[in-house]
Amino acid sequence: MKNRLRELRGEHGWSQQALADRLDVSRQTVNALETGKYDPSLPLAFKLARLFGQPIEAIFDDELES
Amino acid sequence: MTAQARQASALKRYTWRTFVLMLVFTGVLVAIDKTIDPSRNGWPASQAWPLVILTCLPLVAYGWEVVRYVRSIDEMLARFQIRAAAIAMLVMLLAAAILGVAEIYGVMEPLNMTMMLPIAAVAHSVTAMIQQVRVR
Repeated sequence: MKNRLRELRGEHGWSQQALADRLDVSRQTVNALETGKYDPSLPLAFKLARLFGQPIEAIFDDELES
Repeated sequence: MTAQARQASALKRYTWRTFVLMLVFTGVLVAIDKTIDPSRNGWPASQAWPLVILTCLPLVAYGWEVVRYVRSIDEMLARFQIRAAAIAMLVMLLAAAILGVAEIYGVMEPLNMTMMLPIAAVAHSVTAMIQQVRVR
């Protein structure tokens, strides 16, 4: 699944580790999310949405609409 | 404590406890097989049940440690561990089938099925490691 995590993280000036600490996950998880190797659970997706102040669909793209 | 530090601590605890529990399990098995040897020493089957329970105790404790470890790590790593466990189980079943057929055809001596445990442990470690290296 495509996402805008790297871009949003860059806008906030956070490292992968800093974002991982805010989400309470490992840095590897953040890396896997950014590269699309891992799709987050719904609670983690909501956590990301709250953290970046955006709706889930603005962060993740399921590629069905494109 | 950061998620990374918490996971490192959970992994350390899991590794040591698993190591000790496997030593206890092996020790109990060896003690029963080599020292007590219930069937040859005339123990009736009904009296051997405490030995079965004694053998199962370290495995139950190990199972509890696995659950604690998986619950303490984040969801992606937990998913990796569960996937690795499923693959390890498959490898163990395949090894049991192959070795079982080899035994039936007389290619090898009858195998103690507890030998499957190290095979599963190696398969689990390798699978978990490959998955984690891929997301680094």
